[in-house]
Order: sequence, then structure tokens, then C-alpha cells
Amino acid sequence: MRELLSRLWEGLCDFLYDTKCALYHKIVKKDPNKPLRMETQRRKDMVFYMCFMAIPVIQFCIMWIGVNFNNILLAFKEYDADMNYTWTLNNFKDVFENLQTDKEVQLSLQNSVLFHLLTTVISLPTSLFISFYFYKKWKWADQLKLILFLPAMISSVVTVTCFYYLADRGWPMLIELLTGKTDELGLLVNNNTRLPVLIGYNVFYSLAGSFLFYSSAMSGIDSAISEAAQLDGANILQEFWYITLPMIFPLLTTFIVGGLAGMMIGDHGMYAFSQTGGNAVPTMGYYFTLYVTQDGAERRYPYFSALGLVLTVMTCVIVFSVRALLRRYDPFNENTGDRRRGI
Amino acid sequence: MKKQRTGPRIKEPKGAKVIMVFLVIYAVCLIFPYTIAVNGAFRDWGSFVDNIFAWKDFTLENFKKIFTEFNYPVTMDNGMPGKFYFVGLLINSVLFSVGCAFASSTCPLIVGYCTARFPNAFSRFVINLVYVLMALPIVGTIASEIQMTQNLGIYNTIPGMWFLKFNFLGMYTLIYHANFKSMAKEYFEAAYMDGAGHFTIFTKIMVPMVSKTWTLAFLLSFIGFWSDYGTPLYFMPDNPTLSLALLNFNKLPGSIETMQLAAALLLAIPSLTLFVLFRKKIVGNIQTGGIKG
Repeated sequence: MRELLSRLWEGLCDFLYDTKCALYHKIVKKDPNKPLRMETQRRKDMVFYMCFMAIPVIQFCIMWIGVNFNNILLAFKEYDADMNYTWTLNNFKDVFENLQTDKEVQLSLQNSVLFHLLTTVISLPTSLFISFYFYKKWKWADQLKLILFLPAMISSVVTVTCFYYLADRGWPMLIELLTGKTDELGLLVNNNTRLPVLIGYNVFYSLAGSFLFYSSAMSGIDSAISEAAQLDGANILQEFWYITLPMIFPLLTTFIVGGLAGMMIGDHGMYAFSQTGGNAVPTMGYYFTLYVTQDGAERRYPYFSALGLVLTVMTCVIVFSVRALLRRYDPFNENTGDRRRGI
Repeated sequence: MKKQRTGPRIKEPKGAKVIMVFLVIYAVCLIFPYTIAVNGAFRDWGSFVDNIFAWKDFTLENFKKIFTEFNYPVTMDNGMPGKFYFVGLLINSVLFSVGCAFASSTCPLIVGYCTARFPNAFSRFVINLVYVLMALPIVGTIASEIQMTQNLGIYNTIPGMWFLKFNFLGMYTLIYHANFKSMAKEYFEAAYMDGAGHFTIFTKIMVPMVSKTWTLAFLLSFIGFWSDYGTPLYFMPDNPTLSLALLNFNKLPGSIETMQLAAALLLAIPSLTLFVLFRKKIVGNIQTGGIKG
């Protein structure tokens, strides 16, 4: 029985194959072994190209061009209670007024700049030193690299939750254990300590991860250059300052400019702090997240779009000025830098 | 055979020890807050509130409660209030993270391949566009993005988020483009001679050649999306993930701290597991020039 079924199956397969071949020759009317004509080949290339590029291009047209175009239109709209809109310039008027009078917007803007500047000023040089340590592969470099990279892999909600317990619950307990004082406030509850602690948190955790990119760039430096410097009697600090730093300056420029571009978007974990139980300070990213996600925020979307456009212009001016400045004083470029020439 | 050290070999200076001590202290401080979460997750609530530093009164009660009490309130399709419990949140998290990671790591691969394989005017335009848009700092389009997803009908849907993340504006497109461009043309030509079509060449020859890069991009994206609470908060408030639910934990009536820490620990486990399993690949690849195969 089994043998019969198997023969039947084989027969059916052969029949289907023969039919497929016959149909192929009938419809296509071509010898399958004959090479394709140039035009057909080009058409096939084009079909493949268009099929594969279609979805990414459509996605880009909708989610980038469409979103940004809608953002510009939205900034000039005003919704009434029934969500009918009229065209207006009032949103921009409100934005400029709020930038001058609204304490929350002013504080958010001020904190965003403060967080960014302090994080950059403190963590950038520290990251560079750490990267140099890893680049030189000194003691425990590989093990330390793994541990220091760990926070970059863990959700910021988890990290914020853990830090909140340490700062708000652990700190008063620690003070009580050490001094017997029972009225110590949590570091995030206390108005005097909140801002410095949150800045410290950002500096502390921003180091994790960024050093890998710097040490990556450093490892691209030709070892003959550093060896030549050592033969010339350069100590390790001189090697770092005169060789390593100028060599990775293009990457530093990219990081500094990229960081500036994200200055107004990043909420620096403030939304997570405010939601997980701790107290936060407002930043621009936090301001957007908080108000855009509130119930009934739809009517205020035009205001947020206008604010976004104004902030984009401000950020563009800062970013392109800093980029031009960094290019002008790039020590890697022999025509502009003077430090490298002074080696 | 002893593994040879690569890179510059110089005598360790005295300053290196100072940096090492600093790094060890820094690493301990970095890890310390996480130990509180591990400790708290396994402790009785009363004992934890009394002294969060003590290591005593361990229990598994918090994890049991997570399965029954940890939830996220949503508005259902019929407008009635509903709740997402742990299993639902977990399923959403997995679907969201895997789908978005797949979309965000595959789209650059496709665009990178097409632009490198067919270097026409449009391909050059696309690559230049990626360079330009990467440098353009655009702020505050979130309201417009939410409105757009609502108009398209993809708001509050997980497949909608996959579409949202299927974009090629990023570093990966440039990396794939460079990878494919540097490959010898003989690969394509030999495959053509053997009768392979474009799709076969792409899936059976080209993709395996960059599979390491793709896997790493997928892993890093997965870890990022698993932790991401922003996208679900903006675009899927009624289809929440674990990350978003943890963010909202404090608003739950009767929520207790030790349960919050147990949930945080559960959320961290997949990322940590992937990191531990692929640590050398992840750290090594990021270190050797961003990401490469």
C-alpha cells in the first residue's frame, strides 16, 4: 500500500513538473539557457531595486517628510473645542512670550543647558582618561571595561529606580546610622541637594559607554607614532596631550556637535525620576514629554510644534557655530591648528 | 599557546595605578545601586522599609505578587477601563522589542545593499540624505508624530511601531553601504552565471556575508527597545510594555516598594542575559570602529 502511494506521489510530482516546464516554454517562449537580453536584465534590476527600496522610501516620506511638514503646518494652527482649526501666528507669539515670562519654560531651558554643559565639561575629559587607560591595556582593563559598560545595557527606568531608592531612602538611613540624626531628608526630596544630585547622576552614568568609542578611535592610531614619541622622551601625559588627543580630535568634534544637537531633546532621566517616585527638575525633554502625554493635550499640539521649531532654529545656530569653531581650531589640521605643530 | 597582546606595549607608569584605583571605586559605585534592587526584590516589605541596607528576611513573595498584582491601567477599544497584567505586558514587550529591533536593523541592510549594488543617482541621493539628516538637529516634532500615527491608524498598535522603526536614517545604513561596496563584484557575477536572481543573491549570498553585523545591530536594538519607555508612552499608551508599566508603578493603588524593585529586576534580566552571553562581541565590536562584522 505504502509503495503504491509513493509511486502515485512520484507520478504526480513528475506530472506537475512537466506541466510547469510546458507552461514556462509556452508563456515565456524562451530557452531558459539563453542569456537574458540587456533590456530585460535592466528591467529586472529596476524591479528588484524598486521593490526593495519602496517601503523604506515610503516610510521616509511619511515619517520624516510628512511629520516635519505637518509639524510646520501644526505650528500655524489653532484648535477650538471641537478640534476645528484656524490659521494663526499666535503659537509663535505665545512661545516668545513664554520664553520671557513663563518660569517653567525658562527653568527647563536653563536646566537643559546646565545639564548638558556640566555633563560635557566633567565627563568628556574623564572619559578620555578612562579611554586612554583601556587603549594602553593597563591592569584589569578588559574586566573594568565590561563592568563600566554594564549600565549602558540596563534600562534607564531600572537605573533611575535603583538610584532613587539609594538617594531618597538610603541616604537618610545612612546619616542616621553614622551620626544618629533622624531628620535628614532624602537627596531628591531636599530642594537644596536635588539639582546637584541629579547633575551628578547624569555625569556619573554618562561616562559608562562613551569611553568605548574614544578607546576605539585611539586604537586606530599607528603604534609607530606613540613609540617614536616615547623614544624622543615623551612621558605618558605628553603622549596623551600631543599625540592621542589631536589624533582623535575629529571624533571628539563629532561627539561634541552630536551632543549639542541632542541638548534640547534629552530629558536626562527627569521624566523617569518624576514617575518612579522621586522628585525631578524640569528640562526641555521632560517638559515636552510631560505635557504632550497629558490627557487632552491634542489642543495644545500647535503650541508644542511652534516651540519645537523655535528650539530647532536656536539649536541649529549653536550647533553650526560650534562645528565651524571646532573646524577652525582643529589641531589635527595642519593649516589651522598650532598645538600639533608645537610638538 | 599564550595569546599575544596587541596594540602599543609600554611600561605601566605610576599614574596608571591611580587611574586603576579610581576606576575600581567608580565601578563599585556604579554597581552599588543595583545591589539595592537585588536585595529589595527578595526582601519582606516591612523589613526593607526599616533598613534598606540590611541583608535579611528574604522572601519570594514579591515575585509571586508581580504575576497577580502588577498591572497597567488602559482604555480598551470599547472605551471601558481595563488592565494589562504581567503576562500581557511581557508579550507586548517581546513583540514590540523583537519587531522593532528587526525593522530597525533590517531596513538599513536593505537600503545599504541597494545603494551599493545599484549606484545610480537616486542611490547617491539617499546616501547623501542620510549624511545630511544625521547632522540636522530637529527638536520637538513629537506632537506632529503622534498626530501622524493617529491619522495613519497605527497609533496604539504594535505593527504600527514596527513601521515607525523601519527607517534608514542612521549610522547602520552607511556601515552596510560601505560593507557591500567593498565586496568584490565577482560574488554577484558568479551567482548570475549560475542562474541566481537578485533576491537569491541578496538572501543567500549577501545577507550571510554581513550576518554578524546584522546580528549585533539586532542585539543592540533589541536591548534598546526592551528598555525603551518613550515610544510606548507616546504612541502606545493603551498597549503598554513592561518598561512603561514599571514607570507607572508608583501610581498603582497599594503598590509597595519591594514589588517595584522585583519588577525592575525582572525587566533588567533579558538585557543582562544578552549582555553576559554576547559581552565580548558587543564590547569588542563597538570598540573596533563602531560596529562591524
